[in-house]
Amino acid sequence: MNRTPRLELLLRARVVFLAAFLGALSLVAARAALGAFVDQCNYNAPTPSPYMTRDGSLTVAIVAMYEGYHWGGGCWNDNDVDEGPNEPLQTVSSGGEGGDCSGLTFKVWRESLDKNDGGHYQWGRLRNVHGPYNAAMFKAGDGVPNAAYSKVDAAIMDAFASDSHIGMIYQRATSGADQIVEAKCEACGTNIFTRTYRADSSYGGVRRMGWTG
Amino acid sequence: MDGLTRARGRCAVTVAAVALALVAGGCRGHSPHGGDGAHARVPAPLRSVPGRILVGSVRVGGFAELRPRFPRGCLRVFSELAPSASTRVVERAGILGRSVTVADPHTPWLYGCDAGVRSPARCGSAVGAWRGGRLNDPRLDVLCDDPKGKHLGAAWVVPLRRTRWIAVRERDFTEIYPVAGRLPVRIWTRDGVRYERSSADFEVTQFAADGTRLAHEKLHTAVAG
Repeated sequence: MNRTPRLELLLRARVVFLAAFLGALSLVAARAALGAFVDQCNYNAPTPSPYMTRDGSLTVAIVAMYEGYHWGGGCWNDNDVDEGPNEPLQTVSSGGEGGDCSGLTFKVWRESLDKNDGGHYQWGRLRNVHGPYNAAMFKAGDGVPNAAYSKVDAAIMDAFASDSHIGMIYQRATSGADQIVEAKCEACGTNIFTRTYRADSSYGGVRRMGWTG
Repeated sequence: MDGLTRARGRCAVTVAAVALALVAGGCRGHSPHGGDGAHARVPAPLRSVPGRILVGSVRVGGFAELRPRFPRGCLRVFSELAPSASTRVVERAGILGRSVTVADPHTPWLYGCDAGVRSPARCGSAVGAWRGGRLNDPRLDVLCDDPKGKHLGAAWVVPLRRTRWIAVRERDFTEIYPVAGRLPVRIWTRDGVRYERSSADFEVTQFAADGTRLAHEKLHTAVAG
């Protein structure tokens, strides 16, 4: 009887087992990391602030970069790692890191949960808050702090919104495209992207009212 | 007829009368009626559902028949919605709120507007991806309030193939929503809203035409996208 094929088979089985074991181990580790992260998220009250500058809000948005995307989410830390990658698409209940497009906008624009309150509220990074608006509501100018606005005049930290997405202007470009800071999708995460929303008829301008600088 | 049967009969009549009165009172001046699936009294197969049962009304039609302010004025905010002859519209006037749901075969989107029972204008809106009978998300809206200022939540639920009515249980009553227009049903809750978390839970039961309970779930929804 030839022993070499049997040995090969045995080795191959061990390699497959080892790969499966390591795969399962990394999955368990990722789940544990996500669980530890989700445990840090809180429901603390926001801090009211008399001020809200466009530069300050830009900083809030930059902290959210590389922290991932989560449908209906609003909790992130500041380690530039998405603790919940490859989450089920458009599923709120899985828990995960990052905001979605409208959740990011709500937090960066320091809005109140009360739609009739136009004040400024600083939400902690780990405060799990999405806010009451989706992209279509922002586009319609729903809520006292928000107003539909001319796209031509839209400036830094104004937003472009369609019925299903919203992104804020990070930098205005002369080429017709803008640098947009946005939470785009599970695969693309939260980052700055070059977009042509300004010229896209499905997008409207939205302005957060009440900037103090 | 024994005493118990008589008592049950009286109870059913009372519930139906209360439902009629509340629907008529709560939706004064803007109650959609007529069209297919319109109901204002408790359907006979659902009379065994425990507790107080209230039934909203529903109207299925075209875009041209909509009243100018709500819902037509609301739907104007959706720039991507281009109504055509094949646009399907379902208007609902319920116990907690009113809604309109719009679908068009030329677009993969489902559009909706919400309004309070006594408010002349919309308070919220929703857009969902609607493809092949599947909806990406219930598209919760928590921007509407009841006349006492309590937060309301509105969301879509996709009926099962055999579902004729959808029941949503609240603390004091169960609201029945007739399925209509082969579209997701916009349902409301007041007790299930968790406003601080921008989320809401709906206790949903789906019933077949003969009253068979097809499904029961606690639908967890959150504002998203």
